[in-house]
Amino acid sequence: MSGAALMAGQLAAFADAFSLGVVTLDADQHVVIWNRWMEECAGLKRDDVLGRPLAELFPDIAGTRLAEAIDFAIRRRMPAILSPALNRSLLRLYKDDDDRRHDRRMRHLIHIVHLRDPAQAGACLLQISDVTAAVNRERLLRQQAENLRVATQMDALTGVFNRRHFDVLLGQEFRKAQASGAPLGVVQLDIDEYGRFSTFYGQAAAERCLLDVANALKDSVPDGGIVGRYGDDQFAIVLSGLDEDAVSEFAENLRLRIVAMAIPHEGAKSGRFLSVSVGAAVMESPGQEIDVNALVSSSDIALFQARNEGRNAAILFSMAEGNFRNCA
Amino acid sequence: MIKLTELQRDALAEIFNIGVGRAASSLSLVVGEEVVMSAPTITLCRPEEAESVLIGAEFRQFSMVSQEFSGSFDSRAMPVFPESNALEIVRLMAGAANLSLEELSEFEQEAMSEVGNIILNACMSALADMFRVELEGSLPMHRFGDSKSIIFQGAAVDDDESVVLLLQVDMYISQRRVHGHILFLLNVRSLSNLLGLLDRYLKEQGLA
Repeated sequence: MSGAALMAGQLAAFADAFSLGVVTLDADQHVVIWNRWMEECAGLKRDDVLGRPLAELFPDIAGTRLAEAIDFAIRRRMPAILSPALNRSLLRLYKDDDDRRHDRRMRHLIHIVHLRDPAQAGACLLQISDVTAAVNRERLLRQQAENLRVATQMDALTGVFNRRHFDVLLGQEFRKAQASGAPLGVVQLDIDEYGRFSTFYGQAAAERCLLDVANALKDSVPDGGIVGRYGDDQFAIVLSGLDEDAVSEFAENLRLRIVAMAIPHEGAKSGRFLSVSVGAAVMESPGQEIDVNALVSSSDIALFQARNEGRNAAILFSMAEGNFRNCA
Repeated sequence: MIKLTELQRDALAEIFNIGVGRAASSLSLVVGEEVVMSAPTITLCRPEEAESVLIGAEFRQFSMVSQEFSGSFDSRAMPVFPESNALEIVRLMAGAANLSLEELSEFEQEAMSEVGNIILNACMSALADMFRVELEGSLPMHRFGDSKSIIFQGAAVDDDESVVLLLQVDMYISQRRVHGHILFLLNVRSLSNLLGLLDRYLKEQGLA
């Protein structure tokens, strides 16, 4: 056996020891070394692949970045990394027969480097690592993080923000409004005689009604509007960039929309259909010396007034003038 | 300190423009949509000047990839993107959600390495083609930094002996503009080899 052949044999034995794919190619991209890992994962025996072009073994790689990177490593001596985030699984490599039957390809990370000794080892080396488990774990962690975020910020029943997160967002919007000088409005509403509704129709129907109202709110708010569940049957909305007249119109339309849903409310004193009481307030010139609590209390007072006026009403409390007016 | 003549600067800009053009077409192949890169502007400066350009207002934290190239001249090449731009690249190219630098997993970091690798290989091979020389590159390394020291970490930087060829380039992906810099750190000998090759190229073109 010649020295070169002996060396090549030693290199091949060495490559077999790795628990990653090791392939070397000659200048014409024919396989020189194909380690045991490759035999198992590609399902191709060494004797069947040696001397054959890589593109013949993996026809999917034609015209891809992998083909380009191999060519670059051989002709230009430029190394390359092919990350799983940017490249789909180009090589048909499978962890086991079950994955092969279902074409569940391994996610891989490929390093390609130029080799200086084409006579013995080849002109370029591909190292292929199986990162399937890590990619899946990452996806799972991301999904769990997203689920947690949703769970801590959203109201499970209605799908709008819960009170805690609503308050955080309100605070952010308040600071933005103060910085930009744009008006900021808060609208609060509660369902009229919700207790009677619940007693009359039962818990399931009451929850269904909360969901319908929440959906109507989500559907009504303009872009950038924030809807939160503030209490049992109470919701709140933040509206940025709308002045008193616009918020007043929004509040009245909201009231009309809920009535128009014609949800029967037989037990109610205020009418045959489900209705809401709405209170609104607007910080018109954010420079004025008020804090976010003053804005919320003002909408609260307006809501109280709406209830006092016999419910199914929308009232705005003008912070500048200190008086109530019916929304229209 | 050596200065580039206008002719040298224009010629380098033209050669790197070929490089970033190739990089853009390789990146387009990866993301499956058109990626465009602007013609780079080129400055030759000292390492500390390059650092102050990077640590200017927009660069609080940055993501950088480095590769060593050797051959007719030796250089450490580094595409550097400010934090927000790096995240934008990862978001646009790897389809990642809105993340912070700390949240980037190794896959997104590998994706950044790959993007840097594509840009550098294209630029260096354009230089090698035009000068008809061979250059050999190392595998890319990715890291984040928020201080001056990280930029030239591990490199033999001597302010009297080292210069930086600083390229500024804009990348357009999905109609978004992402601004970045590419640094080539060279010692004086490598710079003079590079300029020697450049002058030979200009002569061959009948320009000098």
